[in-house]
This record gives sequence, C-alpha cells and structure tokens, in this order.
Amino acid sequence: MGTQAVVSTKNIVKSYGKGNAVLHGADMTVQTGEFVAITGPSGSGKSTLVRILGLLDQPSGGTLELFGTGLPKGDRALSRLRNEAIGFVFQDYRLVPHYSVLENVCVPLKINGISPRKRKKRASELLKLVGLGDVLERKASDLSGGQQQRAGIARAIAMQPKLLIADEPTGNLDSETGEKILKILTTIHKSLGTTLIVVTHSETVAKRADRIIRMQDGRLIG
Amino acid sequence: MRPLDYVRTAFRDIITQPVRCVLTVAAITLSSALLVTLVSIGITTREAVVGHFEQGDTLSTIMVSANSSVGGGFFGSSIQATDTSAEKLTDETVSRLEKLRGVTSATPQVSIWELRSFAFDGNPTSYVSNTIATSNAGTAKPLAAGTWFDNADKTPNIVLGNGYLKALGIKDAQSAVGRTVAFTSVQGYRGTTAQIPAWNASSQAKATFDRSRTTIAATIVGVTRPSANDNQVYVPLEWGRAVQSPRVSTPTGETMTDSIAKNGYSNVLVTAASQDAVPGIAKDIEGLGLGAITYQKQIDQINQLSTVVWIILGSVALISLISASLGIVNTLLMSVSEQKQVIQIWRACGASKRMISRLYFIQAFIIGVVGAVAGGLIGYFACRLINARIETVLSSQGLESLQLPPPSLAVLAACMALSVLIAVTAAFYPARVAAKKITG
Repeated sequence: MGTQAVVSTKNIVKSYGKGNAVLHGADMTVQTGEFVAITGPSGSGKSTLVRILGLLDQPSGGTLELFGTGLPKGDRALSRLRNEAIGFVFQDYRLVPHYSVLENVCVPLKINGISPRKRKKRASELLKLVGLGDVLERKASDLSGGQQQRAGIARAIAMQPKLLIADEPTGNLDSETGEKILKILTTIHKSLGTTLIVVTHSETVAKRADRIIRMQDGRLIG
Repeated sequence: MRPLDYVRTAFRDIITQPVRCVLTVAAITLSSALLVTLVSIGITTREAVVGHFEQGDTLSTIMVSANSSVGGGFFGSSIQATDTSAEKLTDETVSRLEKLRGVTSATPQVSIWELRSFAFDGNPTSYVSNTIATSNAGTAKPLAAGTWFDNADKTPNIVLGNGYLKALGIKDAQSAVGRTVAFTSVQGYRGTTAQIPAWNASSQAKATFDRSRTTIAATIVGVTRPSANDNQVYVPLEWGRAVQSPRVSTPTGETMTDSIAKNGYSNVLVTAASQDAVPGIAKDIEGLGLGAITYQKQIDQINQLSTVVWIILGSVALISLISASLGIVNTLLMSVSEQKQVIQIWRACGASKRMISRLYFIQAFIIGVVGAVAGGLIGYFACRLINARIETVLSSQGLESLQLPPPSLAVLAACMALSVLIAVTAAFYPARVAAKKITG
C-alpha cells in the first residue's frame, strides 16, 4: 500500500440555500490503495460527500485535495481530472438507455479522444472481465439490474482511474447479486491497486473495507 | 473528443426522437425553400428585366416626343399633362436633333394604328399589330438577319421584331426572311389598297364598307436582333404614309390626306454615340421644348421598385425561417429536458460543459444543414418552374426576349448558409441550459 493521500478534505461544508446544511465540516484522508467504506443512516450526507470527492458537486466551503494537490481551476481541467483519474459507480447504474452496453462503456474513452478501434477493444475486454462478454451489443435498458451495475463498473474503470467511488453499488440489488458486485469491486481494488471508496448501508459490505468512516447528520463520527 | 465522434453522438441523439426531428427539419426545409425561391425570383427577375433593356444598343437611345411634359420612365410618364405649346415632330425637328452634340442618328417613327393585326403565311395564329413606320432605321436598329428596307420604299416590305420568331418557334432568323405576312386593317380602312366606295355609292354600300376590313400582304425583308422592343413590326415610312393617309372619292376624283404631314411624326428615336452621352443629350432635347424618355431612367426605376419588392419578399421568407428556428429551440430544449440524466452521465464520465454545449450546437447544425440542403434543392427547382411559367406569361405579352436565368448558385449558397446560421444560432439557449443549468 502507498502512503500518499489520494483524498484529503478539510472542513468540507455543503449547504443548499440558507440554513439547509448537508455537510458540517468533514475532515478525512484516504491513502493510496486504501479501501474505505462510508456508512451511516439515510440523510447523513454520505452521497453528498462522495459526489464532492468525485467532482460531481462543489463544496460550499472547505478544502479538497486529490492525489496530493489542490484542484485545478476551470471546468475543462476538472472535467479532464474526472475523466482520467476518477471512476464513479452509481446506485441506479446510470447507463444511457438507448446505447448498447459496449457504447456505454466507451463513453469515457470517447470523451478522452481515444480512437474507435482502441476504445471498442478496451471496452470489450472490460465487459468480459465483469462477465458481460456475451451482451456487448444489447441495449443497456434490456439488461437486468446486476448486469447494468457490472456495465456501470466497467465504464467506471475504463480509463483505469486511480480513485474508484461507488455510491451504494449494491443498494438496488438482491444480496446474491450484490455479493457478486462487491466481489468485482474488491478484485479491481486488489488486482489494480485502485483506491476504493464505497458508500453503503450494509455492515456486511463495510466490513470488507480496510477502514470504515461513519457519518451522522452531516458529520464524520469515526 | 474527436470531431467525428461529436457528429456521430449528436446524430445519435437527434434520431432518438425521429418524428420530432423530421418535423423540425421539415419546418427548416420549407422556410429555406421559401427563402431561396423568393430571393432568387426577386433577383433573377430584376436581372432579366434590366438585361432585357440592356440588350443591343437600347441604352444608347432616347425616345423623343413632341410633348415636353413627357420625361420620365415607365412610372413617371403614366400621367401626361396636355402641352398646348407642343410642336409637331417634323423633318425640321429631326434635322435639329441630328445636329445635337453626341447624336449619331435621329429616326422619325410613326405608329400605324390602321393595321390591326397580322398573321404569317401558313400559320393560323394572328398577332396584334404593333407597327411602326420608320426611316433611317438601319442606323438605329441592328438586324439579326436580312436587310433594312429602302426608306422611300412604297412596297409593303417589313422588318420583324425578334420576339415573333420565338412565338412562331423559328430558331434561325434567316429562315424568316422572304416569308410573307398578311395584315388585317381596322374597319373602314381607307389607306393604300383599300377598295373605297365611290362618292355616289349607296348609303348601304358605304355602311358595308365602314364595317369591312382590308387584307394587305407584306414581305419580311429583315429580323431585328433581340432587344427591348421585340414585339414591333417596322415598315417603310413612305408605305406607312400611304397606309395612314385616308382616301376619299369625290366627283372630281380621289383625294388623299397626308396624315404624317398633318400631324407630324409620333416620335423620333435618337441614338447617342455612347451611353454616357445619353443624359446630356436628353437635357439638350428637353431644352428644345421636347420630351425625352431614356431607357436608363426606366431601368433606374425598375431597380428601385424591385429592391423594395425584394426586401419585402426576403423579409417574409426570413420571418418564416426565424419561426422555424424557434422550432429548433423547442426541439433542443425538449431534448435537453428529456436527456437530463444522459447529460449527467456524460458529465460524470468527464465531459466538460463546453463539450455538452458543442453537442447541442452540432445537433442544430445537422438539422440546419439537412433542412437547408433539402430546402435549397426544392427552392431551386421551384424557381425553375416558376421562371418557366413567368416566361410563358411574358412571352404571351410580347416580351419573348425576356428569359429568366436559373437561380444563381451564389444566391442558393447564401440562402442555405443563412438557414444553417439561424439554425445554429437557435441552439445557443438550449446549449446554455444543457451546460449551465443541468451540469451546474
């Protein structure tokens, strides 16, 4: 395991309008190669925190450092960082419904300007890795929940990110399918050395992590 | 992202709603076709009309009339005040006009109203006779075939306006030379060759004569080049004099009144050495107390009028195009709204706001290009059909040499570019909504 901090936050605050704070000063550090689980009850601010860590949302206050440095200025630089260094897995999969499974996985590669031939090859390999090698051309909306989540994971790791964030990846799945998804995530974490942050309600899932961060009412409590 | 990927992705998004997409493209197509049609017809009609007047040496000629109040063009001369001091146009007037600086010839002309219509040999169609008796015609009107008649010719030799060739389907002007035409006179015609009743004929015989027409055969000796006066038939001045001068039978013999000597020439066609000399000569003519009509004045007025018409037609088409572009705004806004989640997915995968905006601009560009190209083609062929119809109508009115050219490619390209530009401009707001409001 490396020792450099992949994520470092100081006093991160997020509020929507006056008096509607969701995060009240979150301080946390995640080291390179770590597997961290963030748990807590609904409304505790877990998803908001990881959306900020994944650069999908902006904090109202505080400091966020990724990969040992402050965030670059400007939307293009931030988007590039999000494209190249961060993978995000959503609870509701977030696949483009009218795209094929292969096209969905190709999206980050396409954004990065990778040639059609290379991105098809890469996406096919990843889909085979998550067990979807036989449904490449199927429409995303035609897949089962578990299959869609596996496609979502393949898309998240398409650019070989240093940081993989999964927001309740098993939340919409039955326990057996959830277990399979968790296995894929831990395999990626171990085999590629990717830093993994998983938001979960499940203590079973949380126990697989190297470290558990608990949240309540927008605060980190341990 | 690669340029081709932008296009593919934008196209992919457009076709997710095929019906809406087709309707939006159809609106742009119709507006674009309307723009191309109206602008092209406005421009080509003006070019054709102006070109029609510029044919031959028309712009170097000045029509001189006895009435000094006549000085405008088509529109300025429509109402003429009576000029009691107007002098007759006589040989002396012609001589004075010939002496003006910059004048190369002055050709007296007389309108022969006694010849009502004429028909070609072997052709059933009869044409309204617009006959001008003239002298020195050879110096004023270049010919496409044949020769001008002798000025003193008292035989019915005619020079035919070029427009009649097209009406008859004759392509080779030379082949018309030597053919004969038959003029039909007005009722009660008393000029040359008319069988007038004797002074002591019965009143019934005189009444019958007053209702009868005379047929006069004439030979085509020449055909004019295409010009602004394609529908005229020229006859020798002396023969015209014989046609126009009525005869009366008296107990002492037949008498004849020389109408030209009595009333003077209808007008005198003055030819200037150059187009530049025309305004100065026209001023000198007006200084003589005569009226001067130049074709340049008419062209200027046509240009002014057609510019106004062109602006009105163009505005109508532009308003239609802008309305269609609102359809694009609507289509893209609905697309943004429906694809909110897709936009968020693209953002999560690393797409910048600019990338998202660009995708919507390209969608608008694709819709605009498809609509503009389809509209341009429809407009082009519509123009050709309409031009052909206008030519037919003009031809039936004696403007055979007026041919409308097909819409110019420059006009077509400009109209299509404008359509695309308006379509892309329409994408500004939806693209902004997609980039700012949805992606935050």
